[in-house]
Amino acid sequence: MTSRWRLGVAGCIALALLASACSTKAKKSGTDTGGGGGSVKTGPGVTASTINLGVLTDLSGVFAVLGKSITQGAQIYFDDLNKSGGICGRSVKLNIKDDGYDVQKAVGLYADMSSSVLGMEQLLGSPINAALKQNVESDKMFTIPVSWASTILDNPNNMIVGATYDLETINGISWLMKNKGLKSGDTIGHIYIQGEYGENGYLGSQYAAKQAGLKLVGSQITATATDLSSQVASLKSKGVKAIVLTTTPTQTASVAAVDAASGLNVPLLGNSPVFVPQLLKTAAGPALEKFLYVTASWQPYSGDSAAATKVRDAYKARYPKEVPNGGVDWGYGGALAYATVLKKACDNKDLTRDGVQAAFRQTTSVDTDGMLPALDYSHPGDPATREVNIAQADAATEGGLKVVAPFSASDLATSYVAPMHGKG
Amino acid sequence: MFDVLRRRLGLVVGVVIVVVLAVLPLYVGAFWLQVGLFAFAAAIGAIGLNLLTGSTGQLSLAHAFFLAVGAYGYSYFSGTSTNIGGGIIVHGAGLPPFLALVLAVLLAGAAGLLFSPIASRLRGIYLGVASLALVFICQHLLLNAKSVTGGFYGRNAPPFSLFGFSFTDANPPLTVLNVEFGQRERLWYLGLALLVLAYLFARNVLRSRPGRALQTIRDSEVAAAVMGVNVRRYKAGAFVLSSMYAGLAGVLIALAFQRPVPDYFDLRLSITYLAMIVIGGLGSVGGAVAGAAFVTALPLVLTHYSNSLTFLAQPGQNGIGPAEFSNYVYGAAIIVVLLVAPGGLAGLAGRVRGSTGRRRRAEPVDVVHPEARDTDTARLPSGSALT
Repeated sequence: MTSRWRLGVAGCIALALLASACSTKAKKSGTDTGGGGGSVKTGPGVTASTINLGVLTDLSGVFAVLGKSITQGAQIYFDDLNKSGGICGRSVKLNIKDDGYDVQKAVGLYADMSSSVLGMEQLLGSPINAALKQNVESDKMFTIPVSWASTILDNPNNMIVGATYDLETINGISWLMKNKGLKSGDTIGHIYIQGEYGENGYLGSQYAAKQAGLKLVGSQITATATDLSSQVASLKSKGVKAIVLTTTPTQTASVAAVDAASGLNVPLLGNSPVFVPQLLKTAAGPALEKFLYVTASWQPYSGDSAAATKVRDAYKARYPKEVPNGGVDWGYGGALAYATVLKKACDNKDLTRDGVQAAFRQTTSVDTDGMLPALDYSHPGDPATREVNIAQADAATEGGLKVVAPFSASDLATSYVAPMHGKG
Repeated sequence: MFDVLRRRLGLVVGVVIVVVLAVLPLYVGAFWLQVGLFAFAAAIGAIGLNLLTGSTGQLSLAHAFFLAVGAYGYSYFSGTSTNIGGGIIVHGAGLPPFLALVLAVLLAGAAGLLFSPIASRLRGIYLGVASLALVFICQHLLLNAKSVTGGFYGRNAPPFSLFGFSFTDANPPLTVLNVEFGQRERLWYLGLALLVLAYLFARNVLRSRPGRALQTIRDSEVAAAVMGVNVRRYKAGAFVLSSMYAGLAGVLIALAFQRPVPDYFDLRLSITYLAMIVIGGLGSVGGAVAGAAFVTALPLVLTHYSNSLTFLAQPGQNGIGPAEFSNYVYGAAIIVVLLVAPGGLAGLAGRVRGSTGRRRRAEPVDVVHPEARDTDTARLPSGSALT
């Protein structure tokens, strides 16, 4: 046993020596970490010349296509902004990390960047947003979640850019009733995936069906399901006149193909994430072009607004070989909205996290040059807009979506009370 | 002194590693502490899986399920009823965190016990397939038992505390040698302490009578039965012990996440744990720890340094990014281990020691030899090959 004793003593001595050596992490006495330029109050992530923002996205996992185009859209906006002088005389730098849609990696990478950024310009993934909710709240990290679920509006740090899934569905159903012959008393189906995204879309169709006197048949599926023929067959036997989709793009293609092949031939109404242009090159392409309508609160890549045109030109110049999709446009619009809040905070002379949060609630109208409807963030718990546009799948159009109805909010959407109304 | 060092090389290395780990929080930042927390949790889970798969030869894909039982069990036992948003109210038992930790580990053990009648009757790939069911049941429960799990959004794991000392940023505020000890620093020591205990316990089990029985079962169930080992009981016991290890790892993961979410506890997680013990070396406790650290830290560290690693694509560029690269590295590591180093990291360490002219004290089999792994061939009557 003496050998163990000796080792123990040696270990303790080593420990004491190591610990008493001066630690690199010890608190330095002296001035505040934020470099102060002028009279603007600054906090984490802001120096005299730079505003650092975090981007935690998926560039290698299941949502890599979306994550990449959103990040490219944001990059296009901030590069332009920096050329014209930046914000508060500082240039904006995006600190981009790829978590591959992996919760553990995301938590680790968040810890890595949380003390060196002012806020999160992008936080992709519903499970990741859920896992980091505590951290985002305690760090007062002003964040754009890449999610449009009205159930996360209770987090006062979340800036949802655009209308929420429930409102997309409500507006979409109103549009079908006006333009596609759907009438009170008809039956509609809704295929939605388990989880935040699907359930929030379904919340909207439940409301719309009840208000408009439609019969609703819900069908919940898992996110990994690929063949939806049995679901469509079951909806067909119930005599549905339209099918609402809150699904993944692959599932959308499956539904469209079965819709056409089985002779059901009813219009399909999808939330913004149901479509990627790559689908049009699959066997389901013709069916999608015939039946699929996508609701979204931002213009597709082919949009006619000043901002959409600008994004298209910039994207073609910078990434000539890539297949564009609407993520680029939303990424640009989101960056613009985020910068609007930062500019407000700069006007208030407070670029700290508290200052940004105060500026966020003072932001009553974000003008995105037509990319999105005007966004109002002054009502906690409520979506920033209730307007969406409706686009049809079309292979001849760049980005695969052609707008058939411009931004508007239906009466049903206007009267809808969001689930988190008044909270947050 | 050198005599001591030479005789107890393993102990010396172990003490040095623990000492270094104990002073690290004084030097490293939030990122490395977070990586360390994940690695401690993964190491405990991997030791548990290794007891089952590496030492007893039972393939289990249900590890994610038992991790989830630990994580959510802790959150439930220590949590209180709260409205977590989305119209969901989660319930909790409101017990002290330490008691919740113990109960969560026991709950995981109980879940393992429930499954053990199946686990003790099956082996190899058949158990693997049967245990797969638990992962899917787990996902279904986590998403739908909303009043306990919080559904899709998960639920908060209340911070740990022991005798009034809480493992949070404050309460009481703690500054050691001018370094502020926040939540991650404090949890680091909890993780380290639990890992050391888990390591010593597993090593002692393997070196004792039950450990030898388990290894005999792995090599040949018939031979074990002939020698008087109650094969079914030991297989069931190994399964329960392994699930309790997973439960403890789950508690640590819940504390490191602050909020466990269902998405994490899927089949991919079970397979990651298998990769850890294969890379670390089947049957070796130290190997499991090393494998867990390697598999957990690699992707995070590569992403952390991606700006300096110029051969990797920067975000938004085309080419191989850090995430893909780490997948390749750990895929390649598994292939290399299977081809040239069946003993994994533990086997390599053993070889290095062997080549310096030192022999280790006789230890229960540290490494599975490929020929010993195939129990079916071992069980064939010797005559059958001749006929």
